[in-house]
Amino acid sequence: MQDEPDRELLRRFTHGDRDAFEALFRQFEREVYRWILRIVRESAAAEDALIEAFWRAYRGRARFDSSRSFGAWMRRIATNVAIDQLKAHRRHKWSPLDDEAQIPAGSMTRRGGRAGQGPDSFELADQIHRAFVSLPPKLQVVATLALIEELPLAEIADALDIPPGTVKSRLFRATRDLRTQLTRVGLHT
Amino acid sequence: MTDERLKELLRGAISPPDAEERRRDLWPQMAARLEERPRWSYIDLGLAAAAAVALAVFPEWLWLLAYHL
Repeated sequence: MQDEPDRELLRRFTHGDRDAFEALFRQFEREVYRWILRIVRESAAAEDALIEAFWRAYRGRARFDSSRSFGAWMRRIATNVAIDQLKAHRRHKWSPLDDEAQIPAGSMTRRGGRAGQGPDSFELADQIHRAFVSLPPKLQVVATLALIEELPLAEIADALDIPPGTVKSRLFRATRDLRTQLTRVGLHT
Repeated sequence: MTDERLKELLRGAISPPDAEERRRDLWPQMAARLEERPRWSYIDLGLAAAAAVALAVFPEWLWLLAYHL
C-alpha cells in the first residue's frame, strides 16, 4: 500500500483544503483506480468509480480519523463505490449475450474460449460469466477478490470493513451458488 | 467440482481488467465535480414540501420545529 501522507496534509484535508485534497488525489489515484479495476474490471467504469470514491471521501472528510491510515480508508470507500456500481449495472437487464457490445459498461466482461476445452468453450465461458454476474454484488465482490484475484481473506475483510468470518461465509455462499448454477446448466466437471 | 476447478473456470471466463493504468488525467474531472452545486434529491424536496405543508396546516408546530433546530 502507498506511503501514508503526512499528518499536516491530512489535517488540512479534513478542514476542506482543496490543495491538500488534490495532493491526496494525485498520491492515491493510481492505487485506488487499480483496486476498483480489480472489482469492476472495466477501465471506463473504474474511472467513474474513482471520481465518485474521491468525491465521497471529500464529502466525508470530517469523519476521517487522521490517526488512521488514509489509504485503507480510501480503499473502503472505493470498495463501496465499486459494489454500488455492480448493483447499478445489475439493475440493467440486458438481452442474451450474443453480442459482446451489449454488455453494459462496468459489468464484468466475459473472456470466452478459455474456460474449457473443445468447440463449445465459448458457450461454456458465457454460462460461467452469466452465473458469476448473477451473484448478489456483495458475494460477487468477495468471489472476485478471493477466487479470481486470490487476495488473502484478511485483506478483503479490511477493504469491505467486515470481519474475516463474514468474508468466509460470503465466499462459501458465492461458491455454493456458482456450483448450483453451473450444475444446473450441466457443468459437473 | 473442486475449489481449484471453480477458480480455473472463473479465471477462464472472466476477463482480466482491460487497462491497468488510467488513460488520462482525472483531476480536471474531479475538480469539476467539486465545483458542482449540491443537487437536491427527491427525498430532500419531498421533506421540504412536507414540512411546508405541515407548517401551513399547523402553524403552531413552528415552535416545535424551532426547538429541534
